[in-house]
Amino acid sequence: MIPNTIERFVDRRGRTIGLGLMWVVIALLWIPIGIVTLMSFAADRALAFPPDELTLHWYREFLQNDAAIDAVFTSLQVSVIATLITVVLATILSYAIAKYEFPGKGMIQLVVTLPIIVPLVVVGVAMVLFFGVINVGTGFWSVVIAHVVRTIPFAALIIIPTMLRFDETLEEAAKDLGADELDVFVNVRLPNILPGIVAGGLLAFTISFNEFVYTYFVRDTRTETLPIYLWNQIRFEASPEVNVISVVFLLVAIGMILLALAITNVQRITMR
Amino acid sequence: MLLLFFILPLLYMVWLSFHDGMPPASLTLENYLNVVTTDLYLRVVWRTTVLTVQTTALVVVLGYTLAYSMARFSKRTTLLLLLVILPFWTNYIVRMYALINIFSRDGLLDWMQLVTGLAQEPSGIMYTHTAVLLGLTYVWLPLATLPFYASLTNMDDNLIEAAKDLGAGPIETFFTVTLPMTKNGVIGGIILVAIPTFGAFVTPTLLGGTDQLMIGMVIENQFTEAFNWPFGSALSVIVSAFVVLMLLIAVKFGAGDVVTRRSDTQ
Amino acid sequence: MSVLQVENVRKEYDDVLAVEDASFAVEDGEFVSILGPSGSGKSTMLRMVAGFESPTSGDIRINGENVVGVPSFERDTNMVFQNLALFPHLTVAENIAFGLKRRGVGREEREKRIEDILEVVELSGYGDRDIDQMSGGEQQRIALARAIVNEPSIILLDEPLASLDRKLRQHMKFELQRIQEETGITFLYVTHDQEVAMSISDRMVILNEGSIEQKGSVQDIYDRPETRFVAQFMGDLNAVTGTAVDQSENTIEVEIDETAVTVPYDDTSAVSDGDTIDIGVRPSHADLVPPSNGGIMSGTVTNHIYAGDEMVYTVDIGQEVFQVETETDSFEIGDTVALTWDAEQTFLFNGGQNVSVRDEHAVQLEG
Repeated sequence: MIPNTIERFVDRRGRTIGLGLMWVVIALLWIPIGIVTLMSFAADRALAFPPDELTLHWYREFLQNDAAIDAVFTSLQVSVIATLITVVLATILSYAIAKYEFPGKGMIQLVVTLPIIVPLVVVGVAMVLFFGVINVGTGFWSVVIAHVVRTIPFAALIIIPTMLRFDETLEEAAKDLGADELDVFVNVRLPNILPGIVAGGLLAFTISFNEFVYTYFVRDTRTETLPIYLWNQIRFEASPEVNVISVVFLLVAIGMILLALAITNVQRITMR
Repeated sequence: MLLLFFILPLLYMVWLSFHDGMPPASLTLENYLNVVTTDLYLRVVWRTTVLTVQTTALVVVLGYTLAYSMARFSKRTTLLLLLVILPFWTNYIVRMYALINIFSRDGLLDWMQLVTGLAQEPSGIMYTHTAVLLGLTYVWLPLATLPFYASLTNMDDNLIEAAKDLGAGPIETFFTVTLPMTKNGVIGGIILVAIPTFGAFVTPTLLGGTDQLMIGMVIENQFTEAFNWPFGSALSVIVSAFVVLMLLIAVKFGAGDVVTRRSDTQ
Repeated sequence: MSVLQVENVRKEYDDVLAVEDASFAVEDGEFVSILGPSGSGKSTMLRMVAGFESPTSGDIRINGENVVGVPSFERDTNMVFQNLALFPHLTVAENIAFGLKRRGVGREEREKRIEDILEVVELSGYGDRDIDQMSGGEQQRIALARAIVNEPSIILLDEPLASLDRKLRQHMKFELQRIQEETGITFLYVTHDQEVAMSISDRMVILNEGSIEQKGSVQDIYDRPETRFVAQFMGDLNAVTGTAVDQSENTIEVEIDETAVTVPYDDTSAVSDGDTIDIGVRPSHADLVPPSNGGIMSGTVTNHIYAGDEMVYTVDIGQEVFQVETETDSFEIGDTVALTWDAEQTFLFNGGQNVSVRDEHAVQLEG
């Protein structure tokens, strides 16, 4: 038994204490992000806190650095291509799940979720092994394939529920009114599930743009995405320019999340 | 697509782990024996296990506190959920770099210690066990908070009032009602943290360096420098075995659902 | 001494006034209902007694001791929740044992009391079952047993029957009454269902918009509602508005759409000539006659339905539509009829307050 005096104290002050702790933890989550942003304006080369003076020098440096800008474009290329492939495949998969019965349908949930759960290193090395065996080798396309494998589960987990919520009688009504199969898909089903597809696509793009581990294993030296560039900078150079790249990532992440939020709702994104 | 580029590679990896070189080579158990007989690898497995347990414990305590206050004491939960999840959606490497900023010599941590008089000399905590532990905790805290929060909001608040009405104080109510009722969320959170921590390689590489080797780093090393692919595969299979073990635990406690619905690694 | 005394209790949330200056008492062994529509503050009242909310001002006394500020886990009250709030992770017996354990009752004693209470609620032998194995009615009884077994000074019930279907509710109503009589524990029951409240309570407290409209015995409240709200809440009521035009010693004359209606009345201080008066008549106290037979007011039948052994007519009297329950079945839709009613059974409301006078009791006026 816990003494009544303690219970009474907790009963009276628990709420205040709990809320206090909550804000402390949230602050701890955000302090590193704030520090990175602050340090991107620091003039010093070393990571000394607090910075002596603030400057935009490293932003200019970043914009004039061809290797960094190349990495940004490589990342964008990979992410856009991977996202398009992912969205198409995930939509087809969801459509099949919603409309047809086929063997192994029950296993799909598991197969779709597993890549999310298995540690990235394991899948990363397995893929590089496998690409060697089937002679795909490493390079731009192996990176794109890896990104698709990485993003399909997330996109599918958002698009499948949207597809399942679609009222099938709408389709029957459309057919009854004389629309053919393709007509129905483009003009009836697609407009209804579009928010889910767009949300899934945004999520896929965000993950792909941030993806590091798979890329690390299956890339070649010519395919340097921004996270890989960042990794190399941290490990081998550690110039304050890294802080600037970090801020770029932050802005992209926040922008994508806000965009996704505008389209879907918080619960859907956070509960995945 | 998933079948081709996900399942097949994993199966090939398992197959390769039983060879003493790149195929065609003879079948052997040597790779696994190598792990259990080499001191270095045993230490790595042990350190990985310790870090996994410590990280998971820290995340559960902090994340549950966070989720509990969000679910029971707060009104603006949408905003709070955003505040918790946004750091998680920031690039993993960026978050690591942010911690390097803080943990380095003359970083924020040192500055705070100097200002408060806790320490006289700047030293930093980079490349220590603590740095890796804090790094892993920072990374996984938001992720585990979500299943905790979900299970807490799913719970009927009246049960808490009923317990109090029957004479249980808030602490007793927590341990006899709230915690048992949110068991599934807790197990789900534990699994979401334990699995990727056991396979971590980015965090220990950046914050721990060679002093704080974890399995993930050794695997990476086998593929990028040592080029002993069968041995690296064997280590990966060991990590996968851990994943399967955790999933079985989840299913046994009926929390499998939590894992399949909400998860992301790294 | 009263088991529960609520004195001048007031509860405000931000800008909303949930309970306004409420006072009432519950005596030992009584079955008292707090009756009111949703949003009337009745659940808030109960939760303040249980200790889940604290009053903005006023006192709540249990056995004479002021419990404001005492947390729920230290109060000598137990609650039966609307959704029952049985612990799904515990068995039936473990649920019932929960409070006993917190009170430090030893194992042997606990087991004996659980067995006894299971017998009282007719669930002997079900102790080891899981909660989700029990039916709705059984769960009701477990929730009741979980509260009663602690032998608190007062049991608080928050509409526990609301979720049951009609038949089961009827049954549980009698069960509640039986168990209360058997155990002799004081019950405070909150409900919006006047039928349930009337059939099981000794006394009632009627709450409306946070204020107590009336408190008293069931009979008293039904026959002598103090306000128009209570009269309407306790049963169907036809009401029509008119103007007081003349008073004599024992009657008052009210003009309704140019028809003068005479009603028994003998308190000259409550109504002045020219006051707007509402006359209320219960459908069962009204009757229909052919227009040639006179009657108090006339109207047109717009609908009629069978309700068992009587007819329910809907009669349009111009200003209002009256419901009349009568054994007569000789009128058709469209017929012009005359309405009559027993003058003794008429309610007279002036500004919402009942000012009609019954033979044996003088109506108490507030303020």
